[in-house]
Amino acid sequence: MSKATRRFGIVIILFTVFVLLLVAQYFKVMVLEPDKPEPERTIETSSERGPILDRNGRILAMQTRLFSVTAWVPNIENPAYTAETLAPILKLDAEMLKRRIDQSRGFLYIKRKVSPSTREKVRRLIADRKLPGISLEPEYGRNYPEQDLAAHVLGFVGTDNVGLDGIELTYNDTLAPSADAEDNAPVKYGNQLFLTLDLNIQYMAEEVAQKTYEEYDANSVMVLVMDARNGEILGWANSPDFDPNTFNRTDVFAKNNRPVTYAYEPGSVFKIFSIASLLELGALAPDTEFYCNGYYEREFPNADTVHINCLGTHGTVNAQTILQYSCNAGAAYASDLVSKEEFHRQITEFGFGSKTHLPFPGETGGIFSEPERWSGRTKPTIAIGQEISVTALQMITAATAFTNQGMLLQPHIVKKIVSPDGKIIQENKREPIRQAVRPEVAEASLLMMETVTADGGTAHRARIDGIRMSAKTGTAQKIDPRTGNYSENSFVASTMAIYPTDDPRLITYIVIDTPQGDEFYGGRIAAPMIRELGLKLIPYMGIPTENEEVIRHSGVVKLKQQPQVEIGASLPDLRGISKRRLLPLLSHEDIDAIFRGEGWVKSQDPEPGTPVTKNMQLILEFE
Amino acid sequence: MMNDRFYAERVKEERHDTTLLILFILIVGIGLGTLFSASYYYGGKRFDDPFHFFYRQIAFVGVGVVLAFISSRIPLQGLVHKTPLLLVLTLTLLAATFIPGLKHSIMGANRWLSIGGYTFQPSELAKLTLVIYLSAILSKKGERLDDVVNSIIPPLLVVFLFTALIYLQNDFSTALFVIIVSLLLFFVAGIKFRYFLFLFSMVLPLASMLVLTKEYRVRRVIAFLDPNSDPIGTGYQVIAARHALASGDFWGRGFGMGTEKFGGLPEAHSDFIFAVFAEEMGFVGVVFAVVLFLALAVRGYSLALQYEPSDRFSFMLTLGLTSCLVFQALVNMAVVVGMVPATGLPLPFFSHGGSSMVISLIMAGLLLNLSRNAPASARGEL
Repeated sequence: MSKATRRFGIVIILFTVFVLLLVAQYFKVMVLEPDKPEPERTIETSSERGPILDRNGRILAMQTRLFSVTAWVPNIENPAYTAETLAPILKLDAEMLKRRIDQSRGFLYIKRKVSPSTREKVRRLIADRKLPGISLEPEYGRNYPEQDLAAHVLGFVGTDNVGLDGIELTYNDTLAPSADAEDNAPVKYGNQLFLTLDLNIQYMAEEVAQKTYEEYDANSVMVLVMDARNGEILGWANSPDFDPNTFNRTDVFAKNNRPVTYAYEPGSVFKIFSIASLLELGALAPDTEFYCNGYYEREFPNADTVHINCLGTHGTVNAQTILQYSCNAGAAYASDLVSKEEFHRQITEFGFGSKTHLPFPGETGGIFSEPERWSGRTKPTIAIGQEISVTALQMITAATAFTNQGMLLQPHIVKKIVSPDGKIIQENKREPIRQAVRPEVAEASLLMMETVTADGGTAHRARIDGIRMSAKTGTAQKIDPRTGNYSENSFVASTMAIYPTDDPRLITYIVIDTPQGDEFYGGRIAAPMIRELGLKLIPYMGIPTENEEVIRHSGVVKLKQQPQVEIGASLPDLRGISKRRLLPLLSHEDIDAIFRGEGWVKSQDPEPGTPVTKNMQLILEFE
Repeated sequence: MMNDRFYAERVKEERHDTTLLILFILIVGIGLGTLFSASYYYGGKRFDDPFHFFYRQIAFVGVGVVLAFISSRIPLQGLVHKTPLLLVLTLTLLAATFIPGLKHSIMGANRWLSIGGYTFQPSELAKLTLVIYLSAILSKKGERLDDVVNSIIPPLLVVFLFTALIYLQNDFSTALFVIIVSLLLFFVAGIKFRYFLFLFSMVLPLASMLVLTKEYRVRRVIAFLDPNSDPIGTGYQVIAARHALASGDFWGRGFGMGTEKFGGLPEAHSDFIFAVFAEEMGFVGVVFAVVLFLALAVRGYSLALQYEPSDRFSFMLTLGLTSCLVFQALVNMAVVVGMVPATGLPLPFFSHGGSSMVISLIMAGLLLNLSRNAPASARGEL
């Protein structure tokens, strides 16, 4: 055996040992190693957050795919060159960028979500191998095509595509792609969320809010529009607002979703609820009279005197005129007819003091203290809408009791949730909460409120010819935080309107926080805005007005106005009448109407001319 | 003796070793498959083309196979005469990587020459050149190897020059690998054991010193000793490779089913490609791959022994080429499993890269050439 062969033998032995060690090590790491890596390590699959749409399917929030420029720092060979090359393209400071690269040891986001043209420039450099260690990572972002429209409702998502505010936050799990979707699905989709908002109404509301906000240089303006029949919110305006696409460039105040977060003293608009409460409690009758000589005054046994000023000397007032003239003294005297516990309980029936649970973050229930903590002046003061803090949402929600025969409704902002494959997962329908007042009280309240828009009423500036409108104005003094007393020059001016009075379709409410200038009365500055909004809403909603032969419907279809179907002592000939116009039959006291089919009446049973009897059955076939 | 060789070569129309050929085809095929699996995500992400790396690699294989065929046919003794030319060419190319217009840097290393849009890594060629050169010179010196001044110093200087140039390209691991292969050849050639010990004792402290001159090398060593000391920095790759291996388990996740390559494991298509292979093929696959390279070693080394002692040059060349391929593979596998600190050595026939693939295939061609010309008497013995 030669020397070379012997030496070679040694090499072979060392070699063999090395190979054995190698295989043993692989066996140890691959098979024996106790700390198996968590198999649920997330795999990057592309996923798409579901869109948010208005009730008609118009897109308010949608998914975008943008690229981020990232760095794997160990692979960057020349930080200075990399920084100098990238900085001008990404509009960053080269020095700063170099420092960031130097300070990082691993993964680094250089710039997130760059524009497609920037991405292309970077992509070319990477392809030319000019930028080792730099890559482009796709990132899923959110775009709000309508910009600031409905911004407070939508909220916004952070750069990691997680909802941070609004519906985006509260429905994050619904919108985010389901975690238990098929693992190997190439793209995971989130659910689609339809809001109750109508984009057109939202636009009208925001237009009015913004105009008011600018005209009166107010702190903020809220305009809410609700469907009176089912509690669905159609418009939710809140000025100042922001663009959720660039939410981080806006201050916190503008992002505040005030209709749920801002508790304020509502002032005289609240009288509709206090008077309705007194009527419901039976202490007040429509003809109960009080005398207003410009103030309310009451002496208590402990020699305390409570004094509340009225805006005028209204003389003899009753429930209706208290509302019509917004008489503080009358409302305060009326509240003396009930105990504070009764009054508190009945006001609570309207939902005051508790949250509505509309799915928004940060909702407040307002401030409505327990009766045992009330002072002598609390009850009469609450009767005129002070010493109680409410949210605009609570106010508009409470008003649903008047438009639904006394039944308080759950407000809704989400219409339905639809899965990526088109299945309706959840749909919100009319949802009664409780009978807040008797139907008679609700009806009486609407009729009393109607007089407020008559000549001499405080809301006459809201009136729209040809339609019956129930309304109430308010001008609340704000508490001056420095003194703790009511301020002489900070007010909340507001007006609520419900129309048409005979068949309520809409509840609209405007709240102007701290208007500047000489005009600050709700009746002067808020009521005209309610009218302005109504002038747009009424034709859009196709609400019939009285003195027009032909009315505009959605600005497109012209319809001849149909007279009301009236049923007297005997059945009229209903043939050829649309189902829509016969809907009031369903609530007729004596007739039990049964509708079959859709369209227009083809046949009716019993025949026309049959006398109406109690509990008679009327079968209508439609075609 | 030279005439005999020429005569023998002309007379024998021997066929090459089919086993060796099959081994190479298997390794290249598995390597290509693994490369595709390892690179399609990264290729799609970075070049908008999942096949980017795969197609390039196929092209490299194509070029390599042509050159391998030529290498398997050229007269080997002619190679001995061409050695000085080869040396000059390689040294020139190595030196050219320092010329600004030609050099091409990737990740802080200036190992590449840029020629018409393609890059070439002369240090890969250096491995081949050195093996041929050392085999030629050390076999020529023959029994005079104890003459230190005339027989050992000159080749040693050449090795030093090569190593220095490669080291200056910031390619510490290739430099070290070249030294190891050279020492092996010196050792097997039969220089006195104490000279060898002396050489070895020179290299070790020098290498340790050079490790300490670059921060990233120290970090790699620290990361090797304790990967979790810097989990998002240098230790990241080591830990990611461990994840891949552990997730592979015994049977593997199946071809294409690995997940570490989705950005978790940097360089998944080049130096750490074996981690992807291990994750997808499991321990079984790892053993199979080791066995393939081991079979290559057995075949190569037994072929080498056929030339001993009649043809010292062919013996050393066979030994050197086989070692070059197999050692690189084993060191790379050792890096992936964390036995050895992270280096820049590719896995021959697997890792993405034209220079490595072409040179490895040329080495394969030369080995097939050697197998064709092995002395008839020794055939089939091993």
